[in-house]
Amino acid sequence: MNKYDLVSIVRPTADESIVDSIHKSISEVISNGGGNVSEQGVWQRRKLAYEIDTFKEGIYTITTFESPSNVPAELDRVLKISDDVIRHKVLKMES
Amino acid sequence: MANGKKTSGRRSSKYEAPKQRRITKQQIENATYKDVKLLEKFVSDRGKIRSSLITGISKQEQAKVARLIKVARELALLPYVTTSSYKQSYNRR
Repeated sequence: MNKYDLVSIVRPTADESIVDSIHKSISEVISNGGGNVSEQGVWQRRKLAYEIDTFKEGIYTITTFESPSNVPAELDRVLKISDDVIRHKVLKMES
Repeated sequence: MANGKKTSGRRSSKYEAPKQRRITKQQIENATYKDVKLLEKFVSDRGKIRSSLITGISKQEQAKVARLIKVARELALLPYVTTSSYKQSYNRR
């Protein structure tokens, strides 16, 4: 089990229900892979330092979780498919 | 060098680095990619990473800061090198 941080930037035009559904699908992937989510939520809505897919703003959400090492790859795959998430990154944290 | 801060003789003779060490060791140790305000201090107006000659932090700390800046860049928290002055254009938007 490793500790990870998942940062995902959701498109600024999304409303709360979309953000919630993204959160749900993320925690589903994690729990299916045998991990557990310790913290999840919107960090802040902020201007991007550069445009991503013509968006100048984004909703940053952070999920902190513990899981086996195969989960980040699956998360990567799921988030790549999503159109609402314009950028994501899974970071391994020092435990 | 005076006040016991580490700078090699070769460096100090060629270039007098500004003593910019207002950031404590503790701050850098606890820093994560989320501390954008802190990381901005190690970046030039254009968004380039400042060399350790200018920042005046140790090699280990510099490596850590550089790593964090690169993560922050990927997440659009900090710019990659920009042509215009980053801080100005960032405030204008």
